[in-house]
Amino acid sequence: MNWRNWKSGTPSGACLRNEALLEDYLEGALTPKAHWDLEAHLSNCGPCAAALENARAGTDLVRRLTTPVADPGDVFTRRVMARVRDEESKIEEQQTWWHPLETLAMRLAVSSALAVALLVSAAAWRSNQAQAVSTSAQSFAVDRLLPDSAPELAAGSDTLMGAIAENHDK
Amino acid sequence: MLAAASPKAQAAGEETQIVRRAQRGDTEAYEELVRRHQRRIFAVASGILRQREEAEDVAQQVLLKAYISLPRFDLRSAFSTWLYKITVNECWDHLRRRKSRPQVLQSELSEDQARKVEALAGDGGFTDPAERALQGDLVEGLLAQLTEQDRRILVLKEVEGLSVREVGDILNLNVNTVKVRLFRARAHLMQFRVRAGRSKTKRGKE
Repeated sequence: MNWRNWKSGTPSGACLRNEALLEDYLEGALTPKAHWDLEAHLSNCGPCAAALENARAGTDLVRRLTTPVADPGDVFTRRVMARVRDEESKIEEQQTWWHPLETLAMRLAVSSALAVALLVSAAAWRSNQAQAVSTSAQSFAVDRLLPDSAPELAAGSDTLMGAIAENHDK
Repeated sequence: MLAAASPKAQAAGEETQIVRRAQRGDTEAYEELVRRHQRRIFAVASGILRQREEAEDVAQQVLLKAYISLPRFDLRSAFSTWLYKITVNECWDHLRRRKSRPQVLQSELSEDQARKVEALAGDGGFTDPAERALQGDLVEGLLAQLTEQDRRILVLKEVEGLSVREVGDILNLNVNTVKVRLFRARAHLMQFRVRAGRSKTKRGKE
């Protein structure tokens, strides 16, 4: 709380920045110390005292002018509840209309997911098959292209390995 | 030994039970809530809209909206605070839809109305039933001097007797802002009253 303005007792418009405190004062919501300080200030500050008086009179005026509103009664309650029940039946109706559609949508979604899974598996299987065929075709081509040199190459390789071993032993 | 709950806390607990039943779709429980709160909702709507028929329509709309939104109400605030919030928002929407809200400016109040406000403020109110019937028009003229928000604050605080904190919760305003606006709204009303008094004196001289 900014008490500087209050305690200075200066009758200045700046005090009115503390309107919230005046509201608390009207409501009896200030602590005893704050209440006493504010009363001391009010006795020296014309603008604050006038503002407080205005607020008090304003409350009084509003309360006097406003007739307490009577309960709108059973007819009103019945109208509200009729609208509530209408709304309930609309919601139920919507649910009964939507439910088959929701089931259908769910079934379609599951079927689509299964179809996609099947397609992916089929594609993967086909790709594996193609790879296997290509590998055997390559082996076949090598066999066909080098049918006689293969045993010689194998013998040559054995001779070379034997020479290396001998060299190593020496 | 456990201290017995205060009557207020007991009532709040009882209301929470009713709200929970209504949230589970028990329309009888909701009807009980409607009966408990319809007067105050209607009073707040009347205070803001200042027209009985419109206030009744809006109050019905509020209670229907509250029923639809009830499953989403998390019980963190009081049910009444939640309802007031819906009421104030609905009134605000209604005023916006109404667009060209007929503004009763000070200069548009008749001399007669001004005289009656002055009389009412000065000597304790009308006694004549015919004059009392005009009270609604005068309240309308007086409250129309305020901004929408000040009127809402004043109605909730002074007419409905809510605390500053409750008003702040309902209008999503800081407590200090509510206090300041309330204070200023009353001051505006009093300025109007003074002007009404001046116009009465002027009329007397003529």
